[in-house]
Parts: sequence; C-alpha cells; structure tokens
Amino acid sequence: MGISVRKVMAKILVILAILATAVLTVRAVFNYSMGRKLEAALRDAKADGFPLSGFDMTPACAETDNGASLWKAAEELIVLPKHQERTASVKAIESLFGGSPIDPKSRKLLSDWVAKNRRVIELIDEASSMVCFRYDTSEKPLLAKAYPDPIKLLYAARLLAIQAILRAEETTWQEGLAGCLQGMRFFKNLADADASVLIMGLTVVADLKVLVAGFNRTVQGRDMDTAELVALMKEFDAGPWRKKFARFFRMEGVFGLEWGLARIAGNPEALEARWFSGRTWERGHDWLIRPLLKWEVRRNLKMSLEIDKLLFLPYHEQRKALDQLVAHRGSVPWHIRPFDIMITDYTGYRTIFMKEATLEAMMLTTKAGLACKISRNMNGRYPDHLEDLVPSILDEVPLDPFTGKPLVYRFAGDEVLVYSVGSNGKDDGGRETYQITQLVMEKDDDWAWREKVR
Amino acid sequence: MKELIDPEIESTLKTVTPAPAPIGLRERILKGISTGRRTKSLTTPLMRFALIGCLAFLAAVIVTDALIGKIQMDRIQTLVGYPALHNDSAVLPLPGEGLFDSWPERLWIDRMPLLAYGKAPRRTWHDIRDIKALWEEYDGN
Repeated sequence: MGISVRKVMAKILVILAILATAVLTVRAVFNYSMGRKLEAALRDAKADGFPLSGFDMTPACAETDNGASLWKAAEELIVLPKHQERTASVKAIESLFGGSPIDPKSRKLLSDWVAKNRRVIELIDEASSMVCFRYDTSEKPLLAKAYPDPIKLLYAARLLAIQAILRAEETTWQEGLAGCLQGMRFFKNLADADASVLIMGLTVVADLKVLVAGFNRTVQGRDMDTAELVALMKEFDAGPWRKKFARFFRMEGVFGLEWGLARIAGNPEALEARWFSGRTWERGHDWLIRPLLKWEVRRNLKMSLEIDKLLFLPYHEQRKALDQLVAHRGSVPWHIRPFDIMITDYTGYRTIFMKEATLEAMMLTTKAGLACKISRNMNGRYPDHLEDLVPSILDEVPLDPFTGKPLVYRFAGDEVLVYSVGSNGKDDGGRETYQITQLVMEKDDDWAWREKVR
Repeated sequence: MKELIDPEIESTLKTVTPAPAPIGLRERILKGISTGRRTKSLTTPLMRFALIGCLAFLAAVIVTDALIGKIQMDRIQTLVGYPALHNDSAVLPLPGEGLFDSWPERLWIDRMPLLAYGKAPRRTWHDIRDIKALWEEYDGN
C-alpha cells in the first residue's frame, strides 16, 4: 500500500512538473508574440497620427491663462446642497426642462443655496474667460493625474442654471442669461483640459444640457434685438462642439492604453491607489495573465481606432456602424471573460454617443428657435418653414442627429415649435417628458424648442 | 513487513526462492526489494533526469520570458513616450482629490464593475451608498 501511494505521488509530481513546464512555455511564447503584436499595433497607430499619450494632446498653458486655478478655488468653496436642497434642486431641474413654475418653498431653498455659493459663481464666470484649463499641471500620465470633481461640476452647472431661472422671473434676467452663457463657455473649455477622459466628457454633456435648458427657459418668449440673437446663435453651433467632444474619446483611448501598459509592466503600485489593493495574489494573477493583458490592450487600441472613425458621423449613422461592429467583433470571447481584465465593449459607446446626440439635438433646436426669433424681428412674423431661414439667417436647415432629416418645425396658432424626434426616432409631435432619469437616457419622446407667439 | 508485500512481489518471490529457504532469507530479500522499490520511482536516472530537466527548462523559460518582456516593455514605453509608467504610488492623488474617490461609478462601460468593486474594500458600505445615490442623480441629468 505504502509503495503504491508513493509511486502514484511521484508520478503525479513528475506529471505536474511537465505540465507546469508546458503551460508556462506556452504562456511565454504567447506573451512574446502578443508583445510583438502590441508593439506593431502601437507603431502603426502612431504612424497614423493617433495620440498615444496625453502629452501629445495637451498644448502648453500659461498659469495666467489657466481657468483651472479659479475652478480649484471654486471647488474648495462650493457648498453642496443638503438633502432637502438636493431634492428641491432635482425638482427645479425638472421644472426647468418642463417650463413649469418652481413652488415658493423650493424657490426659497434654492435662492438660499445660490446665495451661499455667490463667490463660486463669480469664480466660474471669471474662469470661463480664460484661454485654457489645466487642472493638474504636473508632467504625469493621465493615469496619475488629479481630476476635477464631477459631482461638484454638476452642482456648479445646476447653480448657474437655477440662478438663471430665478433671475428670468425677475428683472435681472440678462444677468441670468449671461451666467448661463459663461457657464457654457466654462464647460466647453473643460473639453480642452489636460485630462479630458470620457467621464469628464459625460459630465460636461450633462452640465451643458442643464445650462442649455436654463438658457432656453430664460430666452423663450422674450423680446431681444437681432444683433444679440445672432451672437447667441453662434454659441449653439454643433460642429465646433463635436470636435471638442471627439477629444474626450481620444483621451479615453490614451487613458485605457496607459492603464493597460502599467498593468502589463507589472506595476500594480501605479494603479493601486485607484483599483488594486496590490496583494501578492493580484500580482501573481497579473503576471500569469500578462499575455491576455497584452491581447486586451491591443484589442482596446483597435477599438479606439475604429471608434475614432465614427466620431464625426451623425448619431443615426454612428448607431448603425456600432451595431455592425457589435455584430462582428463586439463581444468578448468566452475564454477571456473569467480573467477579469479590462474588457470594454462597443455597446457602452453607443450609450455615450446617444448622450452626446441629445445635447446636440438640444443645441440645434435652440439654434433654430433663435433663428425663428431673428426672422420674426426681420419680417414681423415667424417663418412658415425652416427652409425659409436659409441662407439669410441659417447656412443650412439643422438636421436631426437622430434621423439625419431636418428638424421638425411647426408654426400653428399661438405656438412655434422646433423639435428633434429624440432617441426613439419617432415623431411624438414635440411632446416632452421631464422625469429626471429620462433626460439623458433613452427617452420615449422628443427634444423641443417651444415659444408662445404674442 | 507484511504490509510491505504486494501481490506482484509475493509472486516473484515464490518463483525465485521456493520454500523451504534458509531462515531469515525470505525476510532479507523482502526487505531489500521493498526498500529498493520505495525509492526507485524517484531515483531512477530517467525520473531524475525528467524532473531536473523540467525544472531547469522551467527556470530558463521564466528568466527568458522576464528578460524579453522587459525589453519589449522598454521599447513600448519609448514608443508611447510615457516617462512614468512605473509611477511612485506616493505621488498619486490622495483620497478626496481624485476623480474616482468621489465617483467610482464608471459603470456604463462594461469594465466599470471591476473598477468600482476593486475600490470597495477601501470604503464603508455607507460611503458606497452615498456615492451611488449621487451617481444616480447625476445620470439623471
């Protein structure tokens, strides 16, 4: 019996040793070949002009031109709403989008909250006129940089929009309007920041939507002179904004690359502060799956390059292209899934494109709405069709990002209505719902500019 | 000794030393055979060669892999131009300064659960609940 057991154990030992040698040899070969492929992919991407580093994308910014210094001060000073104020601010945002009045109790809470943050609003106004935004001026990779706090950015946008609404109902509406515009410029500057990764892009989209809604609420139904309206219309050009938004995607690609390379380099310390506890088993795990990490980094790089080709397409084309990519190579192989590596998928990008398209739809309907106001100033009446505004006021009829067709225009009775059919792609007659969760997600109705004719 | 005898040895023994045999011979032979068999499987030249060869090859594979990996990573780092892939964790943002300290939920992209849950042990559930509430509120805007 004893001899048998020892014999079996000895055989198992030898078999295990052979097996381990075979597995680790295959791993080493795979590691080498994946490394070569990754290197070649990086070289090709660089040759095609795709940025591989945050440094490639961030021009120098003099300290005197840097709006981030002012925002840092604002971050320190901002008073976030308490629970009651937060609830009231959510309701106010909904009424802001919906055009319904704010109840007196909420108004008082919000006025007090705005008053507490007066200095913050001033700092943002000041920062909006700065040339550039570098939050972390150190020469660190994106992975190690400090980022503005998105929650504080979100509340800052709400402050500006709520201030505009409150002032719209007073005699100082121009100040509220100016606040909205300065806020929009401030958030657009963030798109040129040193660490404009996608999460910041989505924050900026959310903030701009709040501010555009605040702007609309302030301007709709108000008499304004033509020169002022022409100047305002320029703020809602979607083209320059789209270029800025594209930068978020590229930065995200670089960020993912840095993250993956740091992990491949066997340096969990670089990541520890964010995602890893740096335990020994994690290091061992990363060492073992290093070839897969290289495979994943290369795959993500290819995905970034494919996404890059879609950045300037209208949303309805982006959606189709992404569906094709998902169908062909969007899914992650089953044998990779258990390794818990940085798996990204094309489906996530579809949501992000959709969120950006909703902002674009809002900007375009606002632009068309302002053009209608200009037409009324010039001709004494609103146009019968949006085409009537071309070329005297608009270069072309704005196209709905969700369909690729012109925005829908209705001028009937006492109301002028310009709208995008929204993410459901269906004409709901300009009907809009304003539940807060529907404002950026899939929404079963339209995005509209609505103005009562007086 | 009885327990050391296996049927194979017993049958061989009967062939080699049929009874009656000199006193003690049977036990001496059995002892010798069983002692030899006990270690034979690991001490035969073939097994030793296989084991040592495996271990030596394994060590060579690991060392070569590490060396080639380092050379490749050095080339990649030169290519991408990151001066600090090997960051000193001490220079990373302190808790409260970084983006993910107040907002780990990059959950709309598939990789995000990994990032968010990787952070979880450092936080109390109360913190996570607060962050999730803020996140939901944010995503509604």
